[in-house]
Amino acid sequence: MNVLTPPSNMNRMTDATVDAEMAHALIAQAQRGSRPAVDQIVRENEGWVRGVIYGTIGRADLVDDVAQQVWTQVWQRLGSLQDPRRLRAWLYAVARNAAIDASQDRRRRSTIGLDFVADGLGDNPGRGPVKSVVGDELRETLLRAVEALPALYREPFVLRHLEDWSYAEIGNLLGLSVETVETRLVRARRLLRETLQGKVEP
Amino acid sequence: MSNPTHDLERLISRCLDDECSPPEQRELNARLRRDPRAAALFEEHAALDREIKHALRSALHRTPDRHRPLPLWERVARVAVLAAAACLAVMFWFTSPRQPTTPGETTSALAQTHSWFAAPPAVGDTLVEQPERFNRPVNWVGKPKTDWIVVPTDQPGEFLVIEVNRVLTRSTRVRQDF
Repeated sequence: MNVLTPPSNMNRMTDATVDAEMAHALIAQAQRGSRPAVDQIVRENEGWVRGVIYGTIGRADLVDDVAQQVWTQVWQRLGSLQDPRRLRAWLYAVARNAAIDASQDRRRRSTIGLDFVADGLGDNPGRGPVKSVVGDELRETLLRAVEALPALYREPFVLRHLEDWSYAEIGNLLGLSVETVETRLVRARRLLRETLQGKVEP
Repeated sequence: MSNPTHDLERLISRCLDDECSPPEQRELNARLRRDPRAAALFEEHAALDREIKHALRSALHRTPDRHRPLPLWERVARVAVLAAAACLAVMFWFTSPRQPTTPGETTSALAQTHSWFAAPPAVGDTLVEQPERFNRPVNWVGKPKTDWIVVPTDQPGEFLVIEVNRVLTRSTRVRQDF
C-alpha cells in the first residue's frame, strides 16, 4: 500500500520537471559567477543546511560559524559541481564535512565539549525533577535533549522538525531507506520521551 | 514478536509526521479512544514534538512554525478586513471632488475642486502622449566611405566634383536613455 501517492501524479511530475529545469538554470548562472543566483541558492537551501550542521555537531551556538564556512566553500567550489541535479547531495556533503571539521577543531582546542557533556540532561543531580519548565529554560532543556541524542538519530530528527521534510526527502539526502528513516525517528522520539519525562506538559 | 508499545509508538510517530495512511489514522484514532494510556502516550509525543519544533526553529533563527496553515477564523478575519478596506477606498473615490470635464470651467474652480487622485490639468497646447518605450538608434561610426558626385558644367571638359564623406551607420538598441 502506497500511502504517499499524491492525488495528481502528472501535475506533480510536471511541476518537478519545471523545478528541475529552473534549478539547473539557476546553478548554471551561479557557476558563471552570478551573485544573485548564488544568493538565491543560499536562500533556498540555508534552512536545511543549518539543520544538517546542527544535526551533525549538536551545538546550536556553532551553527552560524559553520554555516558561514559552508557558504564560503560553496561559493569557491560551485564550479566543480558537474551535475546540477546533485546539488542537494553536494551541499549536504560540504555541510557535513564542515560540521565534522569544526567539531574536531573544537575538541582539539579546548575541553569545553566535556563541560557540555557533563552538564547534559540527566547528569545534573542539582536540578531535580521538574514537572514543567517554561520559556527559555524549557527551550534550553529541549535543545540539550536533542543534542544528547546520538547523531544517527539526531540528523533525521532535526531535518524533520526544522524543515518538515518527508521521510523520502530525508532518506534521499542521508542515503537511507524510508523504513530506516522511520525507525530512527521512532527511536529518537522514544529517547527524547524518556529523557524529558515529566518536563513538558501535554 | 512485535512489542505492542513499540508498534503504537511507530504509528504515533508516522501520524505526527503526516506519513500515515487513512486506514492507519483510523486505527490510531480507535486505539486512542479505547485505551487511555495510548491517548496519554500520544498527547505526550505530540506535546514534545510541538515544543521541540518550536525550540529548534527559535534556536536556529527560523520562524517558529512557518508551514502552519492559518486557522479558519484568522483567514476569514483577514478577508473581512481586506474587503472593508476595499469598500472604504471605493466610497472615498466616489465621494472625493472631481475635476471639471468641460473646458469652460475656470482655473479657480479647478483649484477648488482638484483631487489628489485626479490627473493634473492640462496647461497650454494639447499634449501628445509619448509611447512608454521606444528605441533610440545610436550611430556607431565605422569605416568612412567617400563618394563623389560628378556634375558636368557649361564648359566642355569641366566637371564639378562633389566629395561626400559618408559614414557607415548601424542602429543598435540601447538599454539606457542618455
